[in-house]
Amino acid sequence: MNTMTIKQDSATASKIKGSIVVVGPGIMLGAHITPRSRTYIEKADLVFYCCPMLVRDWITTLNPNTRNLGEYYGIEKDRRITYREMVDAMLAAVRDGLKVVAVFYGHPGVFAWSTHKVIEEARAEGYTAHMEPGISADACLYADMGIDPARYGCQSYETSQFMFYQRKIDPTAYLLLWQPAHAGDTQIKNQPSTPAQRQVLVDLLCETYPAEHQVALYKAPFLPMDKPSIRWFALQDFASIDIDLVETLVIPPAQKMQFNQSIMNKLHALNQ
Amino acid sequence: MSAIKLIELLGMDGELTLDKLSPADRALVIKLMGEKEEEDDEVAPNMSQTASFD
Repeated sequence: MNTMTIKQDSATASKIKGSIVVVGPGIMLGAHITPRSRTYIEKADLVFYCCPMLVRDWITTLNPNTRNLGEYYGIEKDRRITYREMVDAMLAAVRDGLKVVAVFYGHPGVFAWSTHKVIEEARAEGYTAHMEPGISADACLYADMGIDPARYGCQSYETSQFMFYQRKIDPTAYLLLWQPAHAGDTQIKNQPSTPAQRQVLVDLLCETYPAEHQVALYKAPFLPMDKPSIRWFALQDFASIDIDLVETLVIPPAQKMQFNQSIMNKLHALNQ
Repeated sequence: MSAIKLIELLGMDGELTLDKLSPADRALVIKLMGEKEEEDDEVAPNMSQTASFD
């Protein structure tokens, strides 16, 4: 066997061995993680995490071999660079033949670019890679606010994306705007938006909703001792309110659903 | 038991509340929460890794 063959065999063996599973611990520490995700963490060679500090401490009790992806963030750093570095770090460990688990807070596939990207690229290189679902903030919101997203329908957008692109708002359905603390952030930096930027959002929403329409800021409980935070106020006051980085803006329907009579006529005709 | 494991227990058992812990365990949990609140000034994790810039 020549040197090249040995190298190829080594590379093949490494590809078979290396793997990555992306999991989420849910929102409430200790309460939301699935048994399956927990076992993946416990059995991993190396655990990457992108989570609040207490969750990191807790994960370390499940497996001491950890690396903090949060170290890639920087106040003035373009978050696109951060996310790419996260992917590269995780992929490097997979290429080293390790059984890697990446833990991203909440649901690992929700509001997370790096997690989808690392799976895509690991698979393209021949490694085993998949994601386990976790409990996300919207799951908590539906429970805590008593909202059934199927009752009136529910639109859901990241706030800045909602502002940057032309969207058709349906005022007969709920509208959830995620991370409104970063409303209008064109710099992709890690800083909250200004009241002026948030006023742009208010003006946009007031094209569809009355200025006095009651909306809410919601925050899911993070610790078992915490309670859900739900703050109601008039839409027009949004720009002047202090917002937590993890709060979500909930805009209830402002109009009644309108029957689509022409479609109903067609459906009735099919039944005759 | 460590404070973080006590918090995990509180998370796993919806009927277990802070006031049902022993005074010593309760003090451990409260102390850890206070310490982390001061230290955890990092980025909100999972923050906006979305398509707003795609």
